[in-house]
Amino acid sequence: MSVPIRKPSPQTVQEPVHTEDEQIIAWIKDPGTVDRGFRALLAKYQERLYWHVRRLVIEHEDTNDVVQECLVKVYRKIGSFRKDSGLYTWLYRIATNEALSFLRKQKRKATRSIDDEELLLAEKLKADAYFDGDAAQLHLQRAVAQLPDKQRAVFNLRYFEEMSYQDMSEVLSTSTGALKASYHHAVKKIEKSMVATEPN
Amino acid sequence: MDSEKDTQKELEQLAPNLARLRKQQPEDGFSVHPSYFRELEQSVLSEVHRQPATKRRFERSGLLSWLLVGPRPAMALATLALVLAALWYLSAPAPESNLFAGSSEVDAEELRAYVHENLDDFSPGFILEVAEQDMAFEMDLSLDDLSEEEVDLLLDEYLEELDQETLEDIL
Repeated sequence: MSVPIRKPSPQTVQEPVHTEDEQIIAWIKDPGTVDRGFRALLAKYQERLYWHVRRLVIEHEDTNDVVQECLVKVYRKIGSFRKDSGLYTWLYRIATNEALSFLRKQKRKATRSIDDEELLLAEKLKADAYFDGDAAQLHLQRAVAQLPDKQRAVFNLRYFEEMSYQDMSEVLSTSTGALKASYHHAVKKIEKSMVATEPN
Repeated sequence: MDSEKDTQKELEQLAPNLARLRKQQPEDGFSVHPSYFRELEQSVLSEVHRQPATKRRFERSGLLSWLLVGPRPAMALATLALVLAALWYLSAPAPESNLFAGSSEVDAEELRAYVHENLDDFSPGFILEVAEQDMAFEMDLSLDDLSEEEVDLLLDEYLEELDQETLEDIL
């Protein structure tokens, strides 16, 4: 049986040698090397974008749909990419918007209340064949699932990806001050939830 | 990107229990099957290399191409088209303001593709206004605050949301 791939932690990750963003952009802008550039972009970023979307959308199948849609959109829009924003933050912005848009659509379709929907999101983790976290990780993900969608994005980007507030500000089009406040608030809520469920 | 030390230090000050958990178990618990990312890459590459459906539908056949490109047939066709258009104009009832009104053959996906392909023909402000009315919300910022790229993203997102009736109204 083959072993599923787990996301490596930021602390242990050994970055493979990837092409520099500037080179990727140069290849993509040249009609003769656009495919080479896009392949390099996928090699460098598709996994990172997948894990980012997965933490927001939770289920693998939904994540797969959102990420494919996002990467196709990236290919179609890459011509309009401007160098004054980083490729990395531009990609994360598209992925985050796609994921948040997917979640909004799901909520509109559902007849349940938003509170029920967030609880359901937490319950999906249990049923997901590709969630193999232990009790502590499950508890953390359930607490994160209770946060509003955009606050979840803020929490995940900081906690799991160690993204700076400045980069997050470009991704989420929000001021760094508001992002700090949102992250601190999210962290406090999760800490409270952890303390409340600790065994006496 | 901030260093791991910065993020961990910040967390220790805010939430010691969570900081401890992060130190012990930095992973999130999600996984995928081993060949997934190779398959994803192939799937995305094959999708982007497929020609957009809307373009395919309007591709010319070889015969049509010859008729349109050849000089003498083109002149004859143009004259015929002008005569037919004049006859149609004189006999037709008042034109409908809505291009797609009453058409049951065009579905929402095709309308969306049409608007998307011809986005430059529509005013972003108008589409956003329609979207806001359709979805009963108000955007809390002005289009002037957004870059061209952000307006594009917003429009894409809104176009995805609109139903067939609203899309027909836009047209």
